[in-house]
Formats: sequence, structure tokens, C-alpha cells
Amino acid sequence: MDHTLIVCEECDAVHRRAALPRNARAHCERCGAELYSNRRGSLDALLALTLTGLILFIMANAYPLVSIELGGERSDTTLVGAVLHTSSSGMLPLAVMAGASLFLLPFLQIVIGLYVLTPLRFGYRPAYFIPAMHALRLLRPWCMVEVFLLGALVAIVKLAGMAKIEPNVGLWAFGALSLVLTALSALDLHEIWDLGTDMDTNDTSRAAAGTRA
Amino acid sequence: MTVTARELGLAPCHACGRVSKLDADAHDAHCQRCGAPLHFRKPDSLARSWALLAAAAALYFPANLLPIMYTSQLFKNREDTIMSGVIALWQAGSWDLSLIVFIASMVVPALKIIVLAVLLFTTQRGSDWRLPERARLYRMIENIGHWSMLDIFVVVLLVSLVQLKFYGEVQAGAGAVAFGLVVILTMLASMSFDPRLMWDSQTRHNSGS
Repeated sequence: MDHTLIVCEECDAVHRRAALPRNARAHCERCGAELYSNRRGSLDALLALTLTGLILFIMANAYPLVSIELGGERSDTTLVGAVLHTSSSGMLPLAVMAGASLFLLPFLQIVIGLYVLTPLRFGYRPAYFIPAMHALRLLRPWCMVEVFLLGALVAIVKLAGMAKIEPNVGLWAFGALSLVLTALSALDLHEIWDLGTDMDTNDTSRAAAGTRA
Repeated sequence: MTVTARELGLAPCHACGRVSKLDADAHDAHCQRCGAPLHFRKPDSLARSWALLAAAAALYFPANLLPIMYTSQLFKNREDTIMSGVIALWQAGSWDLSLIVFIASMVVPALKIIVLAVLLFTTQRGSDWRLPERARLYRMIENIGHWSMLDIFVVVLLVSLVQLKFYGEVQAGAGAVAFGLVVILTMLASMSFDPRLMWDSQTRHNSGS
């Protein structure tokens, strides 16, 4: 079995892997889909990015998104607050959709990402590598933080006509978080699979030798 | 002439990308590396995709006809559908946001449904009409689909922010739920579609069968 073969997932054409210059991408000859790239960056960078994502996630949810003031009445909300409010005002399905795509799934993506990347950085494979990788793959399309930012912008503009409205720390943190998540989702999971497959679970001799991929 | 993996008896794992040998009549093969089921093509891809697409298309009507938001402001009450929300933004002077919401909430879902229908129909008929363009269309709808959730998030934010006892309150409407479901269903429909089936027609034509 020739392990240098790569198959286009969109048209089934077979290609042979070739070494790529930094930041280059390889595309399928037949249909143009991206096959693989050399944009991964070091595990250190990925890990740092994921950790940043975690910090931003905490900030984005700990602080309010926007504050609104009208005639002396003040109101503000965090994301979780908005989701809970929507569910208690009778629209549970909406609250679930928003809560999942904006809170739960991004959180899982970051935490599971850390679970996978941290041991890999130190040269070994985590115990539940396989289910974790499957989870990362399945979670990806359903994290919609960037859409939420645009939605927040629209909401702010809609309200600006009737009240004094101010974006708050939470919103800026969400903005930065969406950039981090976008960068992380550009990561080709297949490369992490390859990395993880080459490592043994808890191989302390490798870690001691300071192997870095 | 490009060779397909299936012609070589190879199948890439949809989960981890590892290429494995696969027997044509194998029913229960699994990827050695990650355990995911191995197939030459996604099983029942067209049937599942059509079913999800039909459900999405059916929900598209209530999503646009039912109100997504009820606003009560002092003595003024209004119901908003997606369209009326777009118009309201335009009339309030935010023509750029109005356009963005219009594109994200009305154009994108409709486009997705139409494009998927075209892809499914042409694939089912085994046509090899304009394959590279169809491949690009498929990639495009996969990438823009989730942006239609925009209005859902706007509603969620407005509902939770505008809860001012004297001045007004916003409530969500059933149209928003229907709309969210349209987005989810069209995303699932395009995920169920196996684009390799499109290219199989070309392989068949080329081998003269």
C-alpha cells in the first residue's frame, strides 16, 4: 500500500503527495479541490493559538456583549444570558441553536483541540485521540461565531435608532475569538491524524528526546 | 487521463484521509487507523440529500411567511418577517446592512436549495455537463451555507436586550425557528451529497460504458 497516495475527496482522482514549499497548497488536477497544504505551522503555534482561543472564550462569555440604555433604563447581556432569556421566553429551539453554535460547540472545539494538541506537542498521543479527532471533524461546520459577530452588528444598528447602545468587552473578545477559530479551522485535520499516528501513547523516551514535529 | 481511486480498488477514509484497499463487494469495512466506516461512495447519498433538501424547501415557506420577531414599543406593535426586517433596515437608512441581511437570509438559502437541486438532478441523470463548474458550485454552497444563521442570532440578541419595562420588548416568532431549521437542513443536505458521484459520470463516459 503506497502511503504517498492521496485521493481527492471531491472527485476521487488519485494523486501522489509531493513536497510543498511553505504556505503552498496543492489542488486536485481534475476538479480544483484543495488536497493538502504546507500551512500548518509548528505545534507550538497551534497550541498557543488554541490557548488564546480559550482565554478569549472565557472573556467573551464572562463580560457583557453590549449595553443598552433608554430613558434611564439599562440593560445588558452576555451570550449565555441571551440564550437563557430566549429559552425562558418560550423559544427553546432558537435558544438551543444559538447556544450550541455559539457557546457549547466552540467551547468543545477549543477544549478538545487542547486535549489533542498538548500531548502531541510533547511527543505522545493522548489516550482518546481517535474519538477526539472525530469530534473535532464533526464540530467544525457547526461553530458559527463569525456569523454571530455580523448578527451583533446588525442588532446594534437596529437598536441605535431607538436607544443608546454600546458594545462591551464581551463583543470585542468574541471578535478576536472568531479570528482565532477561523485560523484553527483552516488547519487540516488529516495532518494531525498523520502526526498522531506516528506517535505512541505516552512514549516518554520520545518526549525526553524533545521530539518536535 | 486521471485515475480514480475506485478504479484502483482504493478508498480514502472520509474521516481521517487514510487511503486503504477496499474490495468492491465489501460491506462492513472500517478504516484501520480511525475506525470510521469505509465506502467507495457515501451510501444512499442522493436519497438522503434529496430528503433533507425537500424538508428544507418545505420549511422555507413558513420561514419567510411567519413572523420572526414581535416588537412592542410604547403603543406601537409590529410583527416582522425576514423580508419586512430587511425593508425596515433599508428605510432606516442602513442600506448596507439591509443588503447584507437580504443576501444572507433570503438569497443564500434560496440559492443553496436551487443549486443543490441542480447538483442532485444532474448527478442522478448521470450527466457530465459542466463538471468543473458544478464542482465550484458545490464548494461555494458548502462555504456560505452557515451565514444564513445571521437573522437567528439577530433575533436572539434583540429578544434579550430589549426587555425594557416601559419602552418595549421583543419576542421571537415561529418563523425564526423554521428559518434555523432551513439552514440546518440545507447544511446537512450538502454534507450528505457525495460530489464524487458527479465525477463518476465522466469516468463512465470515458470508459465508453
